[in-house]
Amino acid sequence: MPKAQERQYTPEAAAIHAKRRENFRQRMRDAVTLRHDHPLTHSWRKRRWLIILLVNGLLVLGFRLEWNVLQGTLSTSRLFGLTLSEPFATLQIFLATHTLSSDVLVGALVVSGFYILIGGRVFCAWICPYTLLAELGEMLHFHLRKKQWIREHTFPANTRYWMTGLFALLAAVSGYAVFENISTMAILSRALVYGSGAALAWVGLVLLFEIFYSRRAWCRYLCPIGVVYRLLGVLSPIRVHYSIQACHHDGACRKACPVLGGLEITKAGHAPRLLNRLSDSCTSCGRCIDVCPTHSLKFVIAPPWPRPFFLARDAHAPQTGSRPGPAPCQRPTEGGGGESEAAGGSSTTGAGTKRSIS
Amino acid sequence: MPPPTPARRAFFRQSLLGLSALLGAGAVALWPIVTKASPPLRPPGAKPEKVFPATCIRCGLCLQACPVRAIHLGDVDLGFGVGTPYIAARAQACGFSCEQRACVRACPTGALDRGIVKLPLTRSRMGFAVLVDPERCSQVRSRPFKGLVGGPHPTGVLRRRRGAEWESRPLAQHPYDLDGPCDLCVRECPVPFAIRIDTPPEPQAPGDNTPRPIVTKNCLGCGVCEMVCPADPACIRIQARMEPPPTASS
Repeated sequence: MPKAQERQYTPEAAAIHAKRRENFRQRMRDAVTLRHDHPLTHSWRKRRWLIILLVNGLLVLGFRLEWNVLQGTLSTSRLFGLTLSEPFATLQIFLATHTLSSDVLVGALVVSGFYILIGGRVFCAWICPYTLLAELGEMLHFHLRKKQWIREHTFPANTRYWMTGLFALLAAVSGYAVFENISTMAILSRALVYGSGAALAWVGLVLLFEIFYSRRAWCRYLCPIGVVYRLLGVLSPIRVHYSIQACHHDGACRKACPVLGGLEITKAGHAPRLLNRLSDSCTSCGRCIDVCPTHSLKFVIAPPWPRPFFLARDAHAPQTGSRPGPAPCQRPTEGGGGESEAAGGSSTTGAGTKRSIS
Repeated sequence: MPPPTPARRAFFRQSLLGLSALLGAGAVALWPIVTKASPPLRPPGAKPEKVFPATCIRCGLCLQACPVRAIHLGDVDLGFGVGTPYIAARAQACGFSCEQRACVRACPTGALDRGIVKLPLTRSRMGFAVLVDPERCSQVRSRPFKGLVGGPHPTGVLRRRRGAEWESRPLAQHPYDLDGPCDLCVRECPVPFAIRIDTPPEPQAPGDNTPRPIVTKNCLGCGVCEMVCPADPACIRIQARMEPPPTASS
């Protein structure tokens, strides 16, 4: 993992960072004013929730009204007869039974190809029914945190990779698709289409954990479905990009981002280029676009270069242990926030930034 | 490696707690294995019970293909089989009510083996019918039967081929009026020569030679007998995944 000091800045980006160091205080005042003036329309969220409701609604109608458009659940469905399979469930079946029907294999390949094209974790934000539930829980979580009734707890960002390995290993060793028993996405999708069951209690438990203990814990630290899509998304040409030119680095986007440390790149002095592709963990949810007062974040269709895909990494996610030091042109006030993150092995980005600007 | 600070220690403790909670929740799935619960009645062509929950992706497409909606998806009581399909024969039997096993053709994973579709029906065995409670059987007691079958609130549908057409007959709208002793399990059985009324080959008790339903080796466990049995609960039941015992008559 290259240190921040070794990060290659383009001359343009370096010039902007250097200029911003000079009038830091004024810039922060501007940022707060701007943010208060920014109308929150949540236009991307509206679109996204509509798509979630549409896809899951089609599945429900596929069963209830026997509409032959989209039938099944999100684990495997048929779109006009074309089988679509969720890749991690397919992988588990293969690991557990060492066989795979061609139907499911083709379905998983079609789905993988689709997400390679439109951006890996797009599934997480735009299709998964648990996301909708988790976002509602997240609102409650924020409310409780504002009242200081609860504290946020974070875990290392790479927990989910270990969990993915664990569930793959469990499937291979036990001969059961273990994760399918606790997959909130699968349980919820089944409950929606075929009626509720006691398994929903598990979804409720996970949701309670997220509301009261750790924000978006399932999607951030556990769900291997998201990890698989994240790995598929490294080549995707569609991604939210961050442009530094108008940015005030006030951190509204960092607070909104559901991905742990997903927008570290928007901190002052972090972005190496004028236009920066967000990390592959980005779910393309567009929440940062909704809250950004300067329109510095937007969807861009561009090849995943110049960063070669085989070096795909969460360069901007907080690291445990050897965290990159403060960026060369960072203010000490912000650096303080960064150090506390390193100690906890996690990000308290929003709070840290807020401290430094008020 | 820095020395463990209290925060670090607390973090590890929390992580350990979380992980064990997760594994504990997963261990609930072991319950049916620990209690050696009898396997659920699976749709036709189901892979062996040991690999079935692992092969099935729990999409419910079999359920959607079934014209009589006999298939349900299991809940947590099925353990590792949560979300896998089963048939509650008393409420709605399979009865091979469709063209060429629609559920099997719908299955994307091969958990319901598509190979059986082209094979004779005999390869679609789901289980075997057993007269579990002969004392309550109306045939054994030589009682005629009049009224609705399948319990107080029958929900089942008998779907049969009449010529080129399929015809559905909801049990709730079809009361029976039998002259002789009840022989509904024989009358409604869709499988040829699977069950007949006969004296038992080996009397259960001395002198107990009353005629009763005798299940033959042809039985495929489709569940129609269990669904239409007028006794409540049914005195003939499908034993899931049971092969015909060697003593079964042919």
